[in-house]
Amino acid sequence: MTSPFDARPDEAIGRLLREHLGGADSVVFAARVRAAIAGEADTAWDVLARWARPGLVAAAAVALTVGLWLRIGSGGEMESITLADAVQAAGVPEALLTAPSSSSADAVLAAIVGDQ
Amino acid sequence: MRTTDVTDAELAARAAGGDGDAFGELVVRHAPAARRAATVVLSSDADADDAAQDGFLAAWRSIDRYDGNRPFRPWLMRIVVNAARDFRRRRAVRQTDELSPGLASGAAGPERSAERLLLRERLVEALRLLPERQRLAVTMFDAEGFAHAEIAEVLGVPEGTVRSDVFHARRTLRGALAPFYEEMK
Repeated sequence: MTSPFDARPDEAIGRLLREHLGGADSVVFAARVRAAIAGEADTAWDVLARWARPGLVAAAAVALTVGLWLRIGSGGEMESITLADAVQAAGVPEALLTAPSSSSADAVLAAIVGDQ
Repeated sequence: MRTTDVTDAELAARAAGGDGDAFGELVVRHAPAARRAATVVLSSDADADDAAQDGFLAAWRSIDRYDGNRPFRPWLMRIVVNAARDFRRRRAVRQTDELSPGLASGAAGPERSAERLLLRERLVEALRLLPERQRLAVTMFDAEGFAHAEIAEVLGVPEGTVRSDVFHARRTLRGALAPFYEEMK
């Protein structure tokens, strides 16, 4: 009989433990572990996705708040701008705006070239 | 190059770079030992598989901290044993931490011989007589071929303690399995 003090493995006990302990199919178990790892990665993306929407909402809320604050800070000095004011500021020829019917392409070009 | 030609350290380095296939190969290589270690800590094959999976997941998360100049197996086995102990603590409110007789009958199919079943039952009963550290020490030494120093690293005890644990565990197992032991040799 092998001495219990032997520095070598006891083959009989080792074989018995290997045969009777632990599951059978390592490939199936490995597939299970890999699926768990993949699931963990999905979970990480899910966490990011969960954070993304509230993050966008928060950013929008901050932008609105800042805009409102700037507007209030300006003390209502901003005047309302009409379409005619904007068009005039952009230098659109008056003839195009006051014409009774839609202008032809020649009239538009002539007005623009003449304005240059 | 076949994956069997690649060392554990090389696979671990590839896994640290995000190569899931490399880590999968490490799982296939070391799953049997990891599941046996978890089995001797826990009471059932199913719990042992859950705990071993926890251990592999923990190893995957920390694979970049593995030192490729050191043996991979003890590093992994330490993580798996800790995972099994954590699993047992979480489960403690439900059951005791002893190996249950259910382990003996859980995987036995009708095709198994009566003698084989009896031997398995005797083995489980004998293991129940051992403290957890002795169960781990004798399993890692005799079944997995770990060196005493490697087991000491896994269990966090001096090498002399491992030698003593293996000695006492063998004596108990040989006594409990005496009717079978001579045939097994």
